Amino acid sequence: MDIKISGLTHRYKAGTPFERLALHDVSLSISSGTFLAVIGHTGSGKSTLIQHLNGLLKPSEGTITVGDLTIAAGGKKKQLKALRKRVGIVFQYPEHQLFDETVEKDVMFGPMNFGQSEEAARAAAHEMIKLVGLPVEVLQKSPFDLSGGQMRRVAIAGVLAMEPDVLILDEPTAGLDPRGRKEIMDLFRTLHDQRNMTTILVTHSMEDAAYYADRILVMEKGSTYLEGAPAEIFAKREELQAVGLDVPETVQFLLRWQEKTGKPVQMSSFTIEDTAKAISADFGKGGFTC
Amino acid sequence: MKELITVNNVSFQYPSEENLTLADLSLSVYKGEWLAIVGHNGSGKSTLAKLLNGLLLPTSGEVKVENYTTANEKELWEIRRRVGIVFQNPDNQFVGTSVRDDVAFGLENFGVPRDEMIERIETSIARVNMQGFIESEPHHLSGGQKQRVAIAGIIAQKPSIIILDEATSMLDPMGRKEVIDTVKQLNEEEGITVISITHDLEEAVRADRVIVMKQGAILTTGSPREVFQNEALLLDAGLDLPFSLKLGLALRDYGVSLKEQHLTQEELVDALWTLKSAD
Repeated sequence: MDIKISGLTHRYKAGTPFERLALHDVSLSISSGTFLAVIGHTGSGKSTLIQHLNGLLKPSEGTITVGDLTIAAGGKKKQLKALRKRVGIVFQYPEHQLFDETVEKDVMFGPMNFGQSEEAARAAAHEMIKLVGLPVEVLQKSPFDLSGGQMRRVAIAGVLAMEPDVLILDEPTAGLDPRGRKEIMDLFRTLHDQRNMTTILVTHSMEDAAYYADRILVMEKGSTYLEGAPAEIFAKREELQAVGLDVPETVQFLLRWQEKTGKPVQMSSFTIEDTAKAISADFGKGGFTC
Repeated sequence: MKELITVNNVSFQYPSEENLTLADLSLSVYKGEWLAIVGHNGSGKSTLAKLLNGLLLPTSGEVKVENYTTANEKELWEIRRRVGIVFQNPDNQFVGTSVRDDVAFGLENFGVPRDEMIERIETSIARVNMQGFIESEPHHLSGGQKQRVAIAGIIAQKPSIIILDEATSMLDPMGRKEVIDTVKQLNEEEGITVISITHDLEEAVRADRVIVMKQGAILTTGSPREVFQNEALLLDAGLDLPFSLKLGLALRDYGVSLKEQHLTQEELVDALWTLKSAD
């Protein structure tokens, strides 16, 4: 589902002495099927931007178009519900929003709220719980008896059960251990590819942005700062450092190596595998042992 | 080295859980050290942190902080003044209506005189690089900014031990570095002991000592060099390898074999350069 943001401005507490400009004249097109990573300094406007995409915040100026729905400043509430059905958000620490007696009821809540039958919602709950890598036995447990990592997966299943066309992930791996983090991110990438979704990932991890996204948006002080493919964005280390960000660790390493050898390194992707391959090219054919 | 915290045969069970979250765990924390505790989600790391300042009490066993014991309710205030915890989620620890008030709250609780309070607030806010936000309200701050304020609140109380419970997990790369550098400075210059519960292996690599937890018990402890050499053990604990170790292994697959593993990017680049120069 194509998304178009035109001249979006957002003021918190407009018209009061506490007014603060959180977004300023942001324009952006995200074509259907894109996996976009949004990165930026804390307070750069990332969270404010994504909250507009499912109508949690309304624009002070400008428009947001998702598919054939347009939300404008002063628009009607009715449109917001339609928007929320299309755009699912997994918030930071989504496990804090779990509330129901059992995992099954919790996951079923979303789809039933949007008018699905109990049967369909139950089927969705079963499918999604397996999809996020949990055994079906947890469906009958209280979500509060699960570990933090499991609760996170349940919350993600609840969003997926609404079958959104656009999935927004607001730092979805915060607090997870390295393995859980990789599993969850791999899950999102797989879902993205299989379900033909448009995915928007807000992250503070340059590594996740580099490995998983097709496009990267860098926000700074409520405006778009850079936008492009990962290879373009991560070729601009100085610009990134100027706004509190950096390049992923693989690029950091290649830059260090390049400094030693004085020769540019050819890299094809940001994976550790490709980094090792690029460096091994400096060691002649057949390799070395020392 | 002086022992600051002693955990003796502690077991802990949450009332709603069938199994022990911590099982017969013993450990010592020494003055001035930077101790990293790593482990999978649910391994008991955060429960351990809460036991160390008496937010939770052991089901059996004993936790002592500088000869005070958490089992004695009268000694809890002494312990909590000495052990400050910065938690994972900043929203659960922000109590003030502005950054200044939030940092002031803890000091008021401990009866710090006003003049000293004002000075401590400003110094600690500057230390986490939040000077420009001293009058800001919490809901205008992002998660990362709130976390820096929480750290300022702890620093202001001049504790002897700071526990970071995943405290940097929400910060951007530079923000994370700023916070770690700040705590490192407190550790080195003022001798404050740091216990960092973290999933950030790059941070753990720089600790003095690492404890790996698995399913409520200590799997191993040692210097980062000792602990991170053991790939099989780390994977068994549900963890990953630090970046430089992973890259070292990948290089081996491409025929570039180094004699030993290297913990940091600097070390690995140097070792590769030595290897190439010997060619």
